[in-house]
Amino acid sequence: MATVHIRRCDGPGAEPRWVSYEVPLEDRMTVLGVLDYIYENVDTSLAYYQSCRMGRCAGCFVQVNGKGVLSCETTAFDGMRVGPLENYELVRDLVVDLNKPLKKRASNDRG
Amino acid sequence: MVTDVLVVGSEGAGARAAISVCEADPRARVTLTTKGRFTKSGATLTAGTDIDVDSTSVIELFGLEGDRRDTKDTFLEDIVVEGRYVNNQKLVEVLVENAPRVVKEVADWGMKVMGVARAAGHRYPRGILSTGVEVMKGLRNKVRQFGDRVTVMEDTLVTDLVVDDAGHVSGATALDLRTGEPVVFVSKVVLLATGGGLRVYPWTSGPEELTGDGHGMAYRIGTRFTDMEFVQFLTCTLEAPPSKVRSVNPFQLYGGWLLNREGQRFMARWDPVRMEQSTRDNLAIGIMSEILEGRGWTDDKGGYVLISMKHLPDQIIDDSPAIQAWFKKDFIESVKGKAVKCFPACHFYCGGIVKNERCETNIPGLLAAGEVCGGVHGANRLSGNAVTEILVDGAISGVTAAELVANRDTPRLGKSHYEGLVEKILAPFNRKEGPSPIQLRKRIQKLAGYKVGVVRDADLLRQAIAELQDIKAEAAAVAVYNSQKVYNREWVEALQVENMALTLEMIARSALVRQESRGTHYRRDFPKSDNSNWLKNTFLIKNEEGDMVVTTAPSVITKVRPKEED
Repeated sequence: MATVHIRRCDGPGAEPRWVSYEVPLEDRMTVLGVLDYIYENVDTSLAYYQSCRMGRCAGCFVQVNGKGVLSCETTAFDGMRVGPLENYELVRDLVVDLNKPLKKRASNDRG
Repeated sequence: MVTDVLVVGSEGAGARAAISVCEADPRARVTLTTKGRFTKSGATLTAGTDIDVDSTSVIELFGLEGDRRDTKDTFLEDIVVEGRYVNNQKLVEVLVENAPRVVKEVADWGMKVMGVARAAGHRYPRGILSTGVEVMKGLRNKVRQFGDRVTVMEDTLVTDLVVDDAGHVSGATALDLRTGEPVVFVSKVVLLATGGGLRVYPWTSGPEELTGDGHGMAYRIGTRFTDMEFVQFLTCTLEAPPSKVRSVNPFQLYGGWLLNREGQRFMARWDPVRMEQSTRDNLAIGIMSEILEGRGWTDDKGGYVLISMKHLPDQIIDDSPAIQAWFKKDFIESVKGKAVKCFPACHFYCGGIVKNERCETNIPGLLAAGEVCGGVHGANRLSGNAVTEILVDGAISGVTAAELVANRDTPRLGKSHYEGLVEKILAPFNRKEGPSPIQLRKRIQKLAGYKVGVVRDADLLRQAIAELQDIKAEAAAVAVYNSQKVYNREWVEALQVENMALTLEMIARSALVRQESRGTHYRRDFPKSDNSNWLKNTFLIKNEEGDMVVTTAPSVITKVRPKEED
């Protein structure tokens, strides 16, 4: 089992919080695989976006330890911190509105 | 919300249709909806892709190396031969006639063309090489030129079609995922461009959201379907993280062994000479038969066999350009000297909603475009025709929609027309107890892969249909266990499971009726094609008693008939 930290937030203006989850990290499991695991087995309220799962749609961007990555193309690791893209308006949890870039860097830490 | 044309599904077919409406009628307004994000969802983006036009047009319109011996008729003939003679040839004529123009247009709008290829089943090089991402780049550029005449609504899950007292489709209900509030659309025309229902199956090359929503909502109001039994599968795909599914498995091409649980190279049973180098259909049937006959492995996704690289020296793997090109380094290293899971994956729906040459359905006010439709591809789609079809259909359906808009006033809907459908959206969210949509989705997928997959027989299909009756009852009582209104995935799934179950039932019932094997449809109890009795198509509809019924009718043949030896 590994511990991963996900930034949860109910929406713009709501108080963000970091929540830790224990997940079984399978061989080469992706960040998206971890999000699926949490959604299906631990907390169905986790919000995140996915579509093609093969690096083409570019819809599943998140930040892992502060760096923007496609969750379907990135291998998960013990202790990783997953948050939403910080330069777009937040919808909820890891989902942002890609049509609404923020003018300046968000002040709170999104991982 | 009032609009002229409501398009459900924003990618290839839907976006192309929106353009066509705007070009045909300078006053018409279009609302383009997607439950995902525009140009970041749907099947179009996942296409590889070659886009077919006749080879003479390859030269004349694209200046690429085509072959002037090819004509639209030769192209049609190849499509019909690959479709095993049950294509609707009138629809194929429309496809080959319009393909060059619509493919050239999207190139002019910004799609990069990388060359031309001749894929399997084609006598001449017809595949304009590009990618699905490039197709959407071209379409997005063009859509944006129409400014606010095209309203793009993302994160909007359309759930049902609204029908007026005259039986005319007059809008739709939807869930706005951003707010968790239902939306009622009023429109003169609804155009379905929701794609195939690939996610009904446990493994697919398609994206996450293809859950047969268009199929489900169309079925519920009495739309006719055809050829639902013809589902294309990729042969022996593997899970190269992240859940990647490959249309070609280079390990199979470069000497991997397919093994069952007894350690046997089971392809010896199906093709002792070519073994793992056998044809795609033989491989798919071989793999699935091992699983069904208990010599594979079963899991919560319906089972698998192994493809082993243990006998392959590292140099073979390292020196294979295909393996190196298709997989990441860490994956390649991780499989050396090992065996990995291998299974068939759903790739394409050849069947779907019955459309005519103008993309009209049997329901007034309802148009359909792209993979959600049936008829063009017959029993098996010729490689490279998927994107061609969405572009042709998009262009044609938009013109039809514009004509309908000009001839109809904005419908007047009362609450009675949609309040039940709005209640249906809210019910699972308000329910405190009931089956889990996530578990139900998994159950449907496992059933699909195991009993309505590559290998079928009457027993398996009857079992699947019986189990689907239970699943449909559970889907009607499904509950959302978390209480977040905004972007609630579990709620989305709760609204999808009925569509998944209905779509799978359509496939199973059509497959049960077709007592022969043809193209993508393999019945182990009827392993041969039967041209004397089955140059026919299946047609499916909900009858007045609410039962799903399947009938058959002779295929529309205008030009090409099977030869004696076929």
